[in-house]
Formats: sequence, C-alpha cells, structure tokens
Amino acid sequence: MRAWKKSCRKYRFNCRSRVLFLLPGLIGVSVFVLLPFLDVGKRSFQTAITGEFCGVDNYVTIFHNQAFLLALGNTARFVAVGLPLLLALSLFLACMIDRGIHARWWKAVYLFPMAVPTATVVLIWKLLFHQNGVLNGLINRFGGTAVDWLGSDASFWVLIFSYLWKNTGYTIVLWMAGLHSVPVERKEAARVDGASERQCFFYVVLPELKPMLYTITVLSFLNSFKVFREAYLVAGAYPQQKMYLLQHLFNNWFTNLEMDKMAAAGVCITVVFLVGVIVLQRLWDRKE
Amino acid sequence: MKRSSRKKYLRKGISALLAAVLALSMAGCGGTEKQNNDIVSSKETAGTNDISVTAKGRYTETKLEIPQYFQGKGEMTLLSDGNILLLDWENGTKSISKDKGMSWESETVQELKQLAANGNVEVGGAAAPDGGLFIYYIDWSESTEEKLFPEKYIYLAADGSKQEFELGLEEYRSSVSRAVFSADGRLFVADENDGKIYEINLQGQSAKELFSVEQIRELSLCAGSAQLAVLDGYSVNFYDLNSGEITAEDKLLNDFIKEQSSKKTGIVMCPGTGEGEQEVLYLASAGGIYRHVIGGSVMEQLADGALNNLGDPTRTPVSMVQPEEGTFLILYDNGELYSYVYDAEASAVPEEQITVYSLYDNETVRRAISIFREKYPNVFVKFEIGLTGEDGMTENDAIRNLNTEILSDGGPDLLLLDGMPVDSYMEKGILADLSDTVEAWKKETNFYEGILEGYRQESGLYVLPFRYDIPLIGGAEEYLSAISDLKTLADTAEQIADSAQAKITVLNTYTAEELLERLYAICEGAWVTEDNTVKEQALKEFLTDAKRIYTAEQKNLPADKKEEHDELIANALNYYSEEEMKKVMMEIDQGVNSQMVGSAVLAAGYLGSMEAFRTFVSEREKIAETMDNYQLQIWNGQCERVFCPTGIVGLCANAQNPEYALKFIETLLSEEVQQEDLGDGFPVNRDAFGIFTQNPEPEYGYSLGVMTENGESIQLNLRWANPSEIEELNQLISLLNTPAETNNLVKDSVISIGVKALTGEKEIDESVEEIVQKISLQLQE
Repeated sequence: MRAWKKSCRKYRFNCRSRVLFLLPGLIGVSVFVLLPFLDVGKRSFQTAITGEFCGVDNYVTIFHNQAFLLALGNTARFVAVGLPLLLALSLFLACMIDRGIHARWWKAVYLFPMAVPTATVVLIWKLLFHQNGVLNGLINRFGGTAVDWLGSDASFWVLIFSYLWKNTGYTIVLWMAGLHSVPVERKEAARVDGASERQCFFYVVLPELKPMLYTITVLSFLNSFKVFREAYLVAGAYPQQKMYLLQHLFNNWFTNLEMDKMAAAGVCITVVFLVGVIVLQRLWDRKE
Repeated sequence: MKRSSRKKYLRKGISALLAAVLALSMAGCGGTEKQNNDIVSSKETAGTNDISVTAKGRYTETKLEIPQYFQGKGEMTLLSDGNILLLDWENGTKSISKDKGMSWESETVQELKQLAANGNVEVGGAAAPDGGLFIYYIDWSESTEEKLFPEKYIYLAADGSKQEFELGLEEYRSSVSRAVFSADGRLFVADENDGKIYEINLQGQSAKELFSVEQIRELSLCAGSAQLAVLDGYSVNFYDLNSGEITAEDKLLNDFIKEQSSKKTGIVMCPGTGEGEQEVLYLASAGGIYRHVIGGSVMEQLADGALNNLGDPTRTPVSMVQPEEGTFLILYDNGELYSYVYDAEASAVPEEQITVYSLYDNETVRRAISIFREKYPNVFVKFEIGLTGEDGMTENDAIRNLNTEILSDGGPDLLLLDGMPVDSYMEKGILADLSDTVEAWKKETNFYEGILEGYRQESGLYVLPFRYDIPLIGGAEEYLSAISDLKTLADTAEQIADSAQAKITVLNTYTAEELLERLYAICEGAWVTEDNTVKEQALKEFLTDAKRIYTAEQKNLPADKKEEHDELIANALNYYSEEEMKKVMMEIDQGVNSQMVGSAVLAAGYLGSMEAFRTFVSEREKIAETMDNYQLQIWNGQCERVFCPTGIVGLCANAQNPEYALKFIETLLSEEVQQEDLGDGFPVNRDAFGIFTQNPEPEYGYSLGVMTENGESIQLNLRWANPSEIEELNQLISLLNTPAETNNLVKDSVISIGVKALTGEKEIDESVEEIVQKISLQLQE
C-alpha cells in the first residue's frame, strides 16, 4: 500500500514536472506562433484593411495572381533541384571525408561558409557574377561568351550555387554524425561476408542513415528559404524572374499592404509544408 | 552523497544565474525609440513621444513687443545689470528692456544713425556688458587699391567717452564681420574672409590674432566668462579666455551642429549666466533650445522645435539671451521677438495631437505646422520622418514600419505620399475620400483645379498635391512649334543635330541616364494601363524615340566636352548628394544657361521655384538679344500636361483626429502657407500665386558670370520676373492636370535597363522585354 502510494506520488510528481517543463515552451509557441497563425487564417478570409468577410476570394485571387504563381513555381523548382543536389553532394563529400584523414580540419573548412556574413557573401557574389565580373572575365579569357548571370535565366543556377555553397558544409557535418553512428562491426561483418565497398555502402551504411536523412531533409528544406537573403541583397526586391521567390513576393506584398493575399498565401504554403512533412514522416515510419 | 548534494546545489545555482542573465538580457532588449542617445530631452521628456502621458512642464512661447520701427537687423545683449540691450543697425537706435523684453526704452545713437543713413556704408558691432558700444563700419566710397577694405571702428564707452580708430586688418585687405564682448568686457572680432579671430585691445587700439577657423559656412561668436565660442557652420571652436588656449574638439556638439545645419534655419548661441554655468552653452536651432556643458556628453533638449517657431523653416533665429534661469529671448530675422519661459504647470504637450508621417523632411509642411500652431494652439502636430539618413534605413524598410503601424490601428493621421505606394493605399482603403471637403474648400479658395484634382479617381479624391514642379521647354519658335510630343521632339532633335544651328548638344544632356531621367516624368504615364498591365508598344516607342534623341545629343558632342562634363559632375558630388545633383541637372535654368553660353539649342527641364524662374527670365532676355522668337511652353512627352508633384498629402481613413487632420490639410493649402517660396515647388492655391511670385528681397541684386563656348565672358544681372512673365507662367500652370509617378521602383528599372538600349549595349526589343518582365512583376503583385 505504501509502495503504491509512493509510486502514485512519484507518478504525479513526474507528470507535474513534465508539464512544468513543457509549459513555458508551449505558452511561447502558442502566443508567438499558433495564435498569430490563427489570426493569419482568419485574415485570409477577410479584406486587407476593413476586415470584412470575403469568403475564399483571397484564395481565388492568389491563384490567379501571376506573380504568386511565378514565385511558387520558382520556389518549388528551387527546392526540387537544390535539395536533392545538396543531399547527394554533401553525403558524397561526407563519405569521402569519413574515409580520409584530417576529418576535423575538413569540418572546420566546410563550416566556414556559414560563418561568412551575408553582406560579405553578397559583395563577393556581385564581383563574381556581374556582367563584367570575375567569372565572365575567366569565360572570356578561355574564348567563351560572357553570360549575364544575374539578368538572365542563369540566375536560377546562381541561386542554386549559393544555396549549395552555404549549406554543404553544415549538411556534411550532419551526415558525418550519422556515419559515425553506423556500427563498425556491421560494416566489418559485411566485408568479411565478401561485400564490396559499394554494396557495403548501399546495404549497410545507407539503411542506417535513414533516420538522419529525415532530419537533414527537413533542416535543409528550412535552410532553403534562407537563400532569399543573398538573392534580395544581390538583386533587390525585383530580381530576374527565375530568381523571384515566395519571400520576394511576401516582402513586396507587405510593402504594398496586401495583407489579404499574404494571409491566404501563407495558409496555403503552411498547409503544403505540413502535408509534406507528415507524408515524409509516414514514409519513414513505414520503412522503419 | 555529499558530493551529489553539492553538485545539485551547484546545478541549481547555475540555473538560477542563467535565468537571471536571460531575464536581464530580455529587459535589455527593450529598446528606446530615440535614435540619438546623446540628445536627451529634459523637462519636455514626454513632449513628442506619448500624448497619453500627462506630463507637466514645458517652455511656452510668447510673442513680445519690439521697439518701434525695428525691422529685424539687430542684435540683443544681456547687460551685467540684467537688462537687455537691443541694437537696431538700420535705424541707429539702441533699446533697453528692464523687464525681460516686455517693454523697451529706445534712444538714438547718433554715430550709428549717421552711418545707417549712408547707403554706402556697411555697419555692425557689439554691445559690452556695461552698455558700451563697439561699432565697425566700411564706407565703400573710400575703398581704393591700397585700402580695399577701409574699415573704421568706433567705441562708445558706457561713461559717454568715444574712441575712433583704424586697425587695418591684413593691411586693409580684410574686415570684421562679427564682434562680441566677453562677460569681463574683453572684445573679440572675427574676419569672415580669412576666418581669423582677433582680440581687440580698446585702450591700445590694437588687434591680436588668436586663431583661425578653416572653413566657414556661417560665422557667429559667443563669449561668456570662461570660453569664447566660434561657430563656423560646421563646428564650434572654443578658446579658453583664462589660459588663452584652444580647447579640445567637442565632438558631440560638432555632430549636433552638422545635423542641425542641414536644416534651413540657423543656429544661435548664448553663454550660461547662472551660478556654476561658466562652461555651459545654450543653443537654439530648428530642433529647439538645447543646453550643453562644453566638453560634456549630453545635448539636453530644453524646448522642442516642433512645439514652437524654431521649427519653422521661414524663420531664422539671429540672437538669443538668457535673462534668468528658465527664460530665453530669441530674436528672429523677420524682426519678431519671442520669449521662451518654463512653465511647470503647462502640459508637456498640447492636449490634442495629430501625426503627419513623411518619408522625407518637407519645408512646406514645417511652415504649415508653424501656421497651424498659431491657429490651433491646443493641437500638437507631430511630424514623423521615416528616413532621417542617420540609421541606414531604406525606403522599403520605412514603408514596412509604417504599414505595421497602420495595421495595428496606430498609424498617423496624415500621410505625405511622396515615394509611397499611393495606388495601393488608395485601393486598400487606407486613405479617406476628400471629395466633399475639397468641394467645400473650392467655394472659398481659388485653386489650380487641374493640379488639385490631378489624382481624382472614379471612386473619389484621396490624394491632394500641395507642391509641384513644372516641365517646360524653351527655344526658338521654329523648333518649338514642331514639338508636341516625344516623337516630334526626337524628329526635331535629329533635325537640329544635322543642321547648321547645331551646338554641342540639343537638350543639354550628356549621358543616356541624364536623358532618361529627364524624359521619364513626362512619359511614364503612357506605359501602364489602369488594370496594371504594361503597354509594350508605348514602351518601345519611348526607348526608340529616346535613342533617337540620345544619338542626336551625342552627334556633335566632342569627347573633351563630355570629359569636362563628367569631371564637373564628379566635383559637384563632393558637395551634393546624387539625388540633389540629379534634381539640379534637370532644372530648366540649367538648360537655358546652356542655351545662353551656346552649348545647347533647346532648354528642357523642370521649374520648381521663383528663384529658378528669375535665372530663367534673365538668361532668356540675354538670349533674346540674338533670337527674337524665343518661346516657352509646357513640355509634353508621351503624356500631356504633366506636373511633377513634390508634395502630396492624404488623410488616413482611420485617423485618430480627423477633424484637426483636415484642418491641417486646409492650412497646408491655405494662402498663408502656399505663398511662401521655399524652393520645393509651386503653389496649388491660385490666390497665393500673386505673393508667391513677388520678389522677397527687392533690395538685393544678384548677378551671374559665365563664359560662352566662344570664350566670351557674360556678366548678367539677374532680374525678377515682370508681371507679363509671371502671367505667362500662371497660364502655363493652368494647363497642367496629369500627375507624374513618384514611386521610384518603375523608374529605376526603366532607367537601368533603358541606358543599355540607348547606348546600344542591348537591342531595344530585348530591353523592352526585360523592362516589361520587371515592371510586370511589380504590377501583377
């Protein structure tokens, strides 16, 4: 009986302490994220300033808005191209480094782009990608034709390059953490069983990296939105069309007080993002 | 066990410490809105920030009687017995007030009166604390090669004795322009030509050079019992009266001077006279009245310029004294004298408030605030400026901050919409419809209706222009009669460039950017439809015609002239910002000047002030000596009858105080405000046009010296426009009815890409495509 009581008290204490620990965070998230988002949801059915109910007009408007469709398309294209490239490139480099020497030194080098201030990056980008910049100088020297990197469709690849340059190092570090968690015994056992390096990677290492892949994918996806900073500072509020992302649009909408469109677009994007994350999680859970 | 308990306590201790650090850092994050922490507001702390705080205590402004016939050219001095002495240079009188400026007893100073009566004499001086008078004067009729500045001096001592002497500063090649007595009666003078400061020994009748200031914008002296302060318009230089040494630079004060000097009003100083105030300096400027301990770290704002006449750009303070603690007397250049007395019972700000928001400072609004304050003393007009130039904020950042305010229902009452998304604000219902109010005003006031209602839409009138520039083109009738739009201008430019009448340029533009800048305002309206789509054909025509004009401009332009021009611009950029330079380059008087010296055939640009019109008519007269058919007309591009708004105002639909906000707009458009030519555009109020176009300084003459392309020197007296020329201008203004776009986003895209099209770096079709792509994005959003 005393033991039961003690156990009950311990259970209550544990519950209370969990709640107490969770409460500040929950309150913070509710006040600063959930409630504002509910307000955004409400505003998406209202006019911008007068706050009159307008049904789904705002949703209809944004899906007829060429700028929104362009920004949505560009952002989706950017994620679709940039994310797999980043994951593959960083995994490849992580494996190379993992097998090589001076791994720590390499880690420091790969994290360097994250430490460079955006303003500096922007200056370098301008020097590099200007029509009369360093890159075109090199192209001309080798007999090629100069490219208007920031004023033509090539600007999309500048954006991808910028994203890869900035995030590869960080992603490598994450992959390496995953690689180090793969039991050496399993790899050795596979090798003893006659598995080649390739087979060892695909059948032993890669399955072990799956949980890490989920985290890295979500983090890289979130980081992909940060490329806007460089794009905005290099090319301004209205860059070449291929560089025009959802953040450009939201930024300009706010300047023009298009709160109704912003709210509707915000809700749509959140829904897409949530669905994406849930689907991703389900897929992982099922495979595991 | 013990160790684990110690660990537990250690962990708890660290947690508590971290929590405390977090709490403190969060408290530290609560920033203050004040941008310059060095400038603090005392007594009126609540003054301009929060009307809801019922703080008490403010310097109240009262207009005082001035001695009869006093016109404003004079100086006040605080005497050692506490009386105030006011010298009148024009009438040769000195007036004494024994009751802090409430009443005056005047007497004629014969020596001064005689000098003032002689129109050839330039006179000035200073009063000693004991009432003695030091007078310096130059009789220009005595000026010779040897004595270029034949300056003489008179000292009328308080005991009635008189000394007359000459110093021959720099062997009569220099002269005194400012004088001041220190509290112990030492006399200091400044020479504006060389920037030298001297101490004059009245007994020995000699001058001793103390030091000199390097650059002078506006010189004034102030001396107390410990320091002599010399303000050169950029900084204040201090000279220690006891040690005779130059005091170390007062950086805070100098930064303050630089900031305040950028405003149109001047700065006056007076020394602290209270106990322990030997090292205290009081300053009055556009920002208000400030107290500063020399070398100290604070500029203490005693009175806010926004709450009194100091913030009025049409008034310049010329003299200030502090008869007792908490009281200042300030004399303005228009002869008005005001007292500023600390009233502990007055509310820190008037009870009612309206807020006017603008991205940039605006002289006309400041003038309107001053007039409005006189009409409605119970209302405080808070003038918020988004871009002060001090914090690196961009236009977009400022607009986003404003939008946040508007969305939180705390926005301003009135918006000055220059550079703002006007269309979006009208469409979103941010602005109130002013149709009915304007109709009522129109019954009592005569406006240029085409301009006032230039922004009228089907749904109403949300925006009112209150100042604008006029696009004009001038030249020989044979050319001007053929010019009616951009295409005919291009035809004529080509014809001129190929003819024998060709000069270095046609329109006085030297680069593609200059040309596009000038053409933009009169053409932009033709490219965008009402449903926000771009008319590609119109844009293509614009670039095609602009390229034709550019080719004509460059055809006879020698490389050395182009280099000369670039050098001139580069040098000018040392003194002006890029935006100011662009504005100057676009002024019509620049064009007519080029016509006069023979470097351009046509003058095309924008007219924004009567000063510029003075230059225009004078130069036109000179040109007319060789051309009898000079014509001036509104410059039409792809759009007709365009005016360029330099001030547009709108009433916020959710204004906190719409009644007073409307009264403020009424004041802004009133004759009283509109009649002032502040160099920022012409009046919308037709009744004010008469006074606006009057010469404010008929007694002063200006001249201009230029060298023609043939090496001939022209000395031109600039005369004011005569009634027929003013009527000609009035008729031209009456034609205007289409506002030019003030949002720079489209302009930047068109000019940056258009330059490549004009210089041949890109094909026109390619450029049009790129511009359309960029503009479309903006329009489709």
